[in-house]
Amino acid sequence: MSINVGLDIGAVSLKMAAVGNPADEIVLHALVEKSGAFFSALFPKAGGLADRPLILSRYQRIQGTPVEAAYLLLKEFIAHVPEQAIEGIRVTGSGGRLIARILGISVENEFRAVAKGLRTLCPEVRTVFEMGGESSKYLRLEPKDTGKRLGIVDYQSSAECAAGTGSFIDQQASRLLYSIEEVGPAACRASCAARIAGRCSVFAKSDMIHAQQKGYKTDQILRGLCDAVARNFKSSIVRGRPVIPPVAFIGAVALNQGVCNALREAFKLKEEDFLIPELFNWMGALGAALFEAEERRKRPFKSIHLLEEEKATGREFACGHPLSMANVLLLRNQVKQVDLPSPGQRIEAYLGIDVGSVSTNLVVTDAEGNLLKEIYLYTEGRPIEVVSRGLKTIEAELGSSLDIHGVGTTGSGRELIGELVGADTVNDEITAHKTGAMHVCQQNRIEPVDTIFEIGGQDSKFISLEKGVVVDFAMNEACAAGTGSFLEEQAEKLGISIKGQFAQLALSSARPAQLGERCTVFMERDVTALRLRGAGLADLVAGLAYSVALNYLNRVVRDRKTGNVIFFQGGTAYNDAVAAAFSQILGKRIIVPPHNGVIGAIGMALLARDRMRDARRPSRFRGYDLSRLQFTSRDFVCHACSNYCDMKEFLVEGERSYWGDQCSDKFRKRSVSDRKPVINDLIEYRERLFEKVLVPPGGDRLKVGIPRAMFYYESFPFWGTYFQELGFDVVVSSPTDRRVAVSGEELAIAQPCFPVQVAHGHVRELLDQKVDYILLPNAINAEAPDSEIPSHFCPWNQTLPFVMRVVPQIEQAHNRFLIPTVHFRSGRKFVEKELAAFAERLLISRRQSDRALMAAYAAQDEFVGASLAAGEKVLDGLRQSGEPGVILVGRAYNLYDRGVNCDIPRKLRLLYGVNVIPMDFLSLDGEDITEVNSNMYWNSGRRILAAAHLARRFPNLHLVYISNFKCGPDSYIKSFLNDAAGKPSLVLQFDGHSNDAGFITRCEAYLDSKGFLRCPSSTAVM
Amino acid sequence: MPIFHRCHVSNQVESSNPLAGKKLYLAVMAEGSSEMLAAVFRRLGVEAYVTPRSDSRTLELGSKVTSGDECYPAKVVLGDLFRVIQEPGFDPARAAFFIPTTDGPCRFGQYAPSLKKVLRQAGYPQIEIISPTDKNGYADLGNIADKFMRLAWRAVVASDTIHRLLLKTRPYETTPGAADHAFQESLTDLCETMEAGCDDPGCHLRSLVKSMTRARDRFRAIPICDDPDVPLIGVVGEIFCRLNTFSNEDLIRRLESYGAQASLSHISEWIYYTNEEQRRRLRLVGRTFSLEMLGANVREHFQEADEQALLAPFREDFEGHDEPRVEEIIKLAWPYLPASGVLGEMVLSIGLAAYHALHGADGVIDISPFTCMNGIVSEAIYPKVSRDYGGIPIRNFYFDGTQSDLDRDLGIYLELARSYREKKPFRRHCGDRQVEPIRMESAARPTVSTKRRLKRAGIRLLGRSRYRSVRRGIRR
Repeated sequence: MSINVGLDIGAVSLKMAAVGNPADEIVLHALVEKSGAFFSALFPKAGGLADRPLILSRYQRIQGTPVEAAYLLLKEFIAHVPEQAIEGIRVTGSGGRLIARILGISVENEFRAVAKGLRTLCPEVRTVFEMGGESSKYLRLEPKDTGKRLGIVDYQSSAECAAGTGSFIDQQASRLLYSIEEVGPAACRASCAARIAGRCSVFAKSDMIHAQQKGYKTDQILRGLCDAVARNFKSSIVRGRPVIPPVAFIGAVALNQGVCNALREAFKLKEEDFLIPELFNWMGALGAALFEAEERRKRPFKSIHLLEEEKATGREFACGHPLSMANVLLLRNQVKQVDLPSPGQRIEAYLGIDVGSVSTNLVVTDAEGNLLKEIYLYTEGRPIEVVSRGLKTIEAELGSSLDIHGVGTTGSGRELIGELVGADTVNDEITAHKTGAMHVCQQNRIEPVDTIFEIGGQDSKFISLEKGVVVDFAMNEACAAGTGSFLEEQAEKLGISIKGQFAQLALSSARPAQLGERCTVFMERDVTALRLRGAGLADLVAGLAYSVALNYLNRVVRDRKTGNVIFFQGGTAYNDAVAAAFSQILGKRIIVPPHNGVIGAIGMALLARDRMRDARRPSRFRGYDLSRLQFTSRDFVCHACSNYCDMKEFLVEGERSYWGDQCSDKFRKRSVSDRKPVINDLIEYRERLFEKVLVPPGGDRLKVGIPRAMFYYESFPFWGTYFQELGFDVVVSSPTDRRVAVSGEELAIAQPCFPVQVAHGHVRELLDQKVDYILLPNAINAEAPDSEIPSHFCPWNQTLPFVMRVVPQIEQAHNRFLIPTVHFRSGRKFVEKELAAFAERLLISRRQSDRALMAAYAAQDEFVGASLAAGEKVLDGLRQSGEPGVILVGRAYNLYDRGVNCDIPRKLRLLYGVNVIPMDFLSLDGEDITEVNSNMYWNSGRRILAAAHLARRFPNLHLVYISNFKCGPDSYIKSFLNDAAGKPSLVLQFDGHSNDAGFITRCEAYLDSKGFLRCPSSTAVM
Repeated sequence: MPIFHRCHVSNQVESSNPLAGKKLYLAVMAEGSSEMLAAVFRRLGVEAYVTPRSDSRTLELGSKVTSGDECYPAKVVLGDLFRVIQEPGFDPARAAFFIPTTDGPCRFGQYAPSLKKVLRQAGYPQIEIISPTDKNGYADLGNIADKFMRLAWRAVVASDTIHRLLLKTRPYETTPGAADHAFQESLTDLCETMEAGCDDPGCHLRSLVKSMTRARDRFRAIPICDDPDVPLIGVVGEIFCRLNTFSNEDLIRRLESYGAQASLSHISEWIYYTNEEQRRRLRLVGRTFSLEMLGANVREHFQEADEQALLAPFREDFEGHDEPRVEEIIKLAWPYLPASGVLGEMVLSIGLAAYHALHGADGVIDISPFTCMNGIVSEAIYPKVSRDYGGIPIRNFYFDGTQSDLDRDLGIYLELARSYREKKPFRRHCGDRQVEPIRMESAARPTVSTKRRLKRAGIRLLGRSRYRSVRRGIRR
């Protein structure tokens, strides 16, 4: 009797494999006969294992209780197979360690187990893709025919921030009311795919929601999701590693045909090179069993009943203070019912609609702002249906007694629903929430609110008010998004209801577990880990409440001042445990307003009322029945640029409106502000100055390609002129678009910031254009006013050429790279020497280089001079007229590359009539920032803080900081920005995956709080 | 926490010194060296303490004062210092925090300004921040600057050396804990010697050498079971994360538990690199024969002499385990990241990865904080280094304080190292070896047809005699 068992305990599911000797056939056969939990499988003919029986467990989810699940499965196994027949047990998988410790058995490394399983069943496989519940793996095998080595030559597993592919699809599917099994077929049915970012599940999640709200069908979204998962796998796990066929795709996700197709397409694999082994889900378990069978020095395993004892006893984990409601004021308990109008009577009413990602709220108020009706619905990815259902409910209950005098919409679906419903005003969520909260204070006769914590499904906001004016606010940067839905998903994962039960459990915990306070994806893993370590349910739930509060405070509020009248609103405020956590962490009283989930919608009703007061026209409200409304939609692809955005056209009663992705240039809606800029378009002016540098190509001259990236945006006049003067033709790569960005992302090794990735794409394009040389200067620092502090470029700028030339697809062209090392800081004489030495390598004489350099400096000086002159004029104009303006601060390649910043700088001007002044138009050398930071050794940092410092002297100039995720220096520079400016600024971080909708919301809220959108009183879609 | 039960303070600090009457706190970076630096300060009359061992509260407090986008080490350092603030009896008026700094281009140099800002915001603007830098002749240290610099160097060399010995012994010890015990004992001994030893510099050095000899004997007394099959893994990367066992989740100890030996780059290497960097900068601006250059050379001369004296007892112990000279590292890194155009640790990481490969290591691990700019540059270069050096497995491990399955990743990593071991082209302990790595220059020499086109374009060509390598740099 010698059965060896392998257990693969993942984050989501449990798999078991049992391998016996031929003699065990009868026992194992009996097991399969009697127990439905197991089935038998066969080893392949070749390989010497053909005669050995193999038993596998059916797919089983562990629901967060690995010990219990393992115990039950083993118990079931032992009920039919005598315990002494089992020779050994070996575990693998992320949850394996705990079980191994209890049973005193060995743990097998997951990669090794998988490799072993595949080597036995599919020895021809050279590359393995695995997608499991919460992790993904890439493995490359080069096994020798003989020998015990598995021949693993390379591996990769999902990076910290891309974890959770399997459960992610799971969550999204259930969000769309699909079961996980239906995702594959649905995705295969879809005619096209909605574009969804795949780098991090939080981004993907919000993209899906935007896609839903743009009217994509669920099939298309699911297909987009599968594509995103495949793309994510390719870019963040395989990352340019060789994919040598045949490729085996294993793990639970291999069941999903949609992902299979997407992967095959993403890697351009032939059908026969991409196989899904029959035992795709049991490779790890099987490998562990086989390893155990080969083991000569076996560790005797202890009785499996130890597992039962273990699950009963609690174990030590770090814990915080118990939650208490002592310092929480729930106004919802004090609200008095407003009398509804009597039948036959018709009153003036206003409708507010907040279409969020998770929930859609509709409210009706009377002219005084008293709430007549609130409807809180889950959006469930179907905003149009949900709104139409809500409107029908209102009509059925109150329709006969209401005269709708005005409608306002807000939330991420505000534009679509605004158009459909006929909104009189469309506002960003922050303005809506502020208006609603102020109203609650008046009604309840409490001190005016000075701080609002708003936690919705996907967005978190922090609003700071002084006498009813927004003085500061923050929104979650994308990586902390979705706090509300995070709690919901976690509750679901733990098998408890978010309504009531969550808070009740959490408040009952005496020892709340200390969980991480980072982005939701990590928190999810922390919960799993603690769960795996055996933390109690109530303690975990209480810990989650703390986590959400801490995460919000540390990542959204950060070092901002919290006041004394703190409102906690949004859907998450229904959860008393979170309110308790806030009060305990801050040591301050937390007020939860009545109707806390619909404050934004109430605010919109009030804004609609105010708007209609001045409008002197009837409301555009189209009536309660959206189905009576004639609207059609049509998908098409915009070919205005090479981005090929998926567009959607809605035809509502003869009026067209468009929704598209990143730019929507061609189909741009009318300006949403009546404000007109009073200054020239400086960004365009700058582009024209650059164009002027370029001379037309002449004959048979050698071509120097300059990538339109990084250094280009700062010093093109210099480098362009230098090489033209040397007698070269200068070729600049085309502007950044989706194609360039995608190719760059694919090429870049490691994961540098987005602009560096984009630069890779530009270099690739130049290589394809067959230029003779590609310029990638190794520029160390910049010219700077005299000071002791250096003026470095960041390490990624400095090393760009060296990083670029080792990219495998580019490497063979490395001798076409021109890499002059220059220290601009050391003065022009010095640069002259450096470039002379560089030119020598090109066999160009020093005299020629010096002459070209003189011209280059002249061109750069002329360019800078022209910029500064234009800036001075603009600044004078604004000073005299008192018109407000926005200074854009940031690195040149973030400010001016439209493909990087979603063209937000231009949209600020076009949509809102903002006077936009990029910081390079300002004379910054005179600003002294030593008080703010005495060691700002980055050139960009010094200039950014100097620009902020300059803005301090101009009350009518505000700051928008354009940055990118992963920008190292900016992570510090931005923390000094407010100190330098003495006023709050807007920080926008781009990463190329974002579409512009979220950025537009932030901009609107900022502009509104700065008074840009005040005249007329709000933004209108007129 | 404190290894020191008493606080011996002699009176070398003048009343005008910014440190006079202050309690100085040092955040722990590497095992041993921070304690030694505290001892140096105490020797010079400053009441100095290291912060208690980092724990979850460190991260809790650290994340309150950072946004999460900064480097992970900053979070750990700030968290440790804020923990000191919250200790009962803490007196902000008497406190000073020691935080080293640089002038870029990596983010490390921002720790001090950022600490200053968060202290101000937290209501402690009075806490003195000591960030000695050569920019102002180490003014933060006042009259003890010169003495401190020399003693600190001795402290670093001594603690680095016993840590090397620890890593060399621990994987083979037959009694678990014996090597750690020897390390702690030696550290206490060294700290006491550093603090209390004789006033004359020469005599002080001799007593340190004696203490080092005692340390050597402690390690030599540990029974070991040598195993030639233990793979050797070079550990490079960001200095703080690589050396701080809390930040890197004790990666080296875990590596050892999987049956590997680690060769870790210590602090002294960084100091030699900054010396070299300073000399290069001076050369660059044509100050080859300047007072600063003389200063740099003299400093290095003293440093080398002190190092030799302190290392003398260990000649046999480190036989075949020679640490590379920084010039050699820079040279090996040159084809990938030429030091003429790349500033910072990635030069060392790349050069050392090549050095380790060349000297027969079975793998290289890079430890860096999550989103570390230098780490990501190195990560982009490593595949090329690996291709050039027989396919040695080089891996980045990033840390940001979140839980990850480090054990799993190390387990599989060692699988790669063992696979490589079977086919590796470089044997261990083989004396000096020179490979001529692939040369990549700032511009390739033009081909004949290119030359023709250059001529046609009116570009005058130079004769071969004028052809000089850019690498030789720019001369006056």
